[in-house]
Amino acid sequence: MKNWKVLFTLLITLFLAACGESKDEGGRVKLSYMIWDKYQQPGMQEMIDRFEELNPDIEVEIQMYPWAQYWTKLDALAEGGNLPDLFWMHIGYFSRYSEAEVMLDITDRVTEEIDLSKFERVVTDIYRSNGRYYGLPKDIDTVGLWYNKKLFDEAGVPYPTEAMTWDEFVEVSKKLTDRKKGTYGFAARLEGQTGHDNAILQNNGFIISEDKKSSGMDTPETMEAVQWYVDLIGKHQVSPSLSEMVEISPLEMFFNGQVAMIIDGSWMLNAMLTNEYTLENADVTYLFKGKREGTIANGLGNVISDQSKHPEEAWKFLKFLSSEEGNLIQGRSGAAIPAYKSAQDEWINSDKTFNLKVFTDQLSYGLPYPNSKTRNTWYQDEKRIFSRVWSGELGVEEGCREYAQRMNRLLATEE
Amino acid sequence: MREEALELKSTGKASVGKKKGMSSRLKDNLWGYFFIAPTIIGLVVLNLYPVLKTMHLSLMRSSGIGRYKFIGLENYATLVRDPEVLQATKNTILYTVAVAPVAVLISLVVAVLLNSNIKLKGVYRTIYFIPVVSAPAAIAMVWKWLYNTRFGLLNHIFGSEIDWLSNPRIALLSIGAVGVWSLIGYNMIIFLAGLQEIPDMYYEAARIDGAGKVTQFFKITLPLISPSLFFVTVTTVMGSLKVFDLMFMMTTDTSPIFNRVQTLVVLFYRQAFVMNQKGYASAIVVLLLVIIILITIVQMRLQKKWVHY
Repeated sequence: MKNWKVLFTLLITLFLAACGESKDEGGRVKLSYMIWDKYQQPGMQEMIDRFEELNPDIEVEIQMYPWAQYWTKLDALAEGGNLPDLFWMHIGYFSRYSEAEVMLDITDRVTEEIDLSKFERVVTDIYRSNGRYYGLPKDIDTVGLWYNKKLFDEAGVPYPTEAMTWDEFVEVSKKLTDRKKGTYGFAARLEGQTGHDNAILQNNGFIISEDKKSSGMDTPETMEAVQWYVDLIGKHQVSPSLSEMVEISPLEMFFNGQVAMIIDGSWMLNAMLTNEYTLENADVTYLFKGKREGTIANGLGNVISDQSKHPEEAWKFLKFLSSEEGNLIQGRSGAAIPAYKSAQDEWINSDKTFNLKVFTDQLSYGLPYPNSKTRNTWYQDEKRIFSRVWSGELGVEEGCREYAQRMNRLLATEE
Repeated sequence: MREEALELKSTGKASVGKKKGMSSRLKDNLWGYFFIAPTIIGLVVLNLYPVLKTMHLSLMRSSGIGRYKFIGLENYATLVRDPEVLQATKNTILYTVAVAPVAVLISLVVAVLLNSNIKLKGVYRTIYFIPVVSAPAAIAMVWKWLYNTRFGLLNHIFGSEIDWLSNPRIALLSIGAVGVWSLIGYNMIIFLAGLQEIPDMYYEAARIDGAGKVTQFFKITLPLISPSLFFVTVTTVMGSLKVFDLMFMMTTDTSPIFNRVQTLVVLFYRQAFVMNQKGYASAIVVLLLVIIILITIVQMRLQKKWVHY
């Protein structure tokens, strides 16, 4: 009988211990903040440290999940009612989450307490739905052409300080490709923002119409652009094949000096600084230009969960993240280009190693990231169909038409 | 039973249940239920309920987070016409046919060899068992690098340029090889347990009669180990049909050969968690369930023919 009492007491204790509270012993409110970029984490932590200094009764904890798992995890948390208090939002996924109504409507507070004119216009409205505000802009990003100075020196090619035309770009890539040594001029990624979408826009094509009702993938301009891009692999052979890029990621290839140029974003600053090889040998320049200049620009947002148990404290934190002081810290840390206009210079000056000005310059011709409610599904179609196009199994025209067909079918269900 | 045996000893009479009081029998039963309760509750809550819920979900279409619309058997109608599902089924069956028999056979041979009196058999058993206790993620990562076309250790040793994981014809087999490698230890342990139950005197008698090692294996070992063999075969086949972690971590969905290596559970994962089509994904997993049930029924029927208890 005594054993029963002991067992029972033990079970009850364990049960109570397992039901954690979101306040720790000091009575401080604990907020969770979910992000997906480990290179930006130190910058975010700096902002948190300062916020906690100013608000000693609030504690913020970062939960970092790599991009590949972030949305899967967030979806599961949303469905289970366990969303973190605040989390990063991406334009490609915003409509999905706003439809699910899991983000806090902050319109009233924004109108009263935030001066939206301080932010880059292109991102202030992205996180709005039906006229209501659900998120505040965190940063603005675009892509540039990162290149390997050492490989350029070895090939005797001058650094590309200006935007190259498509033809110039192919020529330069050819000079930098040495198949015997196993080095390539450029890694033609099967990726939107850091790959072919830029070429499409530069050729006056489009991925999705502005009213989100039809796909632009089967327009002649788009198909022409995709053909040019894919020719880099098959025809000009300046890029590793898709299989090679699957086995070793283009970023790893760049870190290893196997590829001379890649398209990558302003958010990669810290990654390029932390890696010894790129710290010494890399730099960044303007992306090549087609019939027009164009880069895919994006801006992340910070949102508060509708399910948060501490909306007041969460708002305080969000307000700090969107303040000048918060954004100066973000810029200085090099994490990302703040959407807060006056803090952008902090980012440019945060490090003198690379020519960071190209990113803020390119923002002037940045075009919005393609997205819609069913983006998750049609983006998968893109991967499946284009992987056959990239490997030469399927023709560009055929692949684009198939993709457009599937996308249109999905867009039709979005009513 | 023990209580009855004790009673027998003390009273010298055969006391059957009737002689035990009703409350005593009830107490026995209650104890029984109490002990199996955790497992039964776990089984019902964590296994049975999700299975039923998934079947229910397969009749819905997902639209947004947590929202579903009832569409009856439409998912199944789409499923049978979906080339990706057909290919995934082919891949899954191909993988199972390649992995299961080989894994079972090799582990049986290894178990028999490690049952004899060779030196350092403890060391060998440990070596064979280590893959079983290693994390699948770690195994996948390491093997992925071993298989790398340009920098992998395998190509380096053989001086070849084989694209183990990028060639549509051998990618499935390359991953299958890792699957076999990770299963040997587990099956081997089960076989060893079964082998050690076979009395030595059968082998002695056979040796006296002049039977060689091979004959001994086929006439004594095999029949007497058939229950373990049956168990191992059924579980290995089921496990292979459900393969996920190895596949998921050794392949990427942008790979041009992804269609040729995608198994049903990987397709389920993508549909459910990446494309957020949880209704359709549930239908796919019900399909897998049906396949597994059919194969297991066939195996159970054949059991009577070759398993000796």
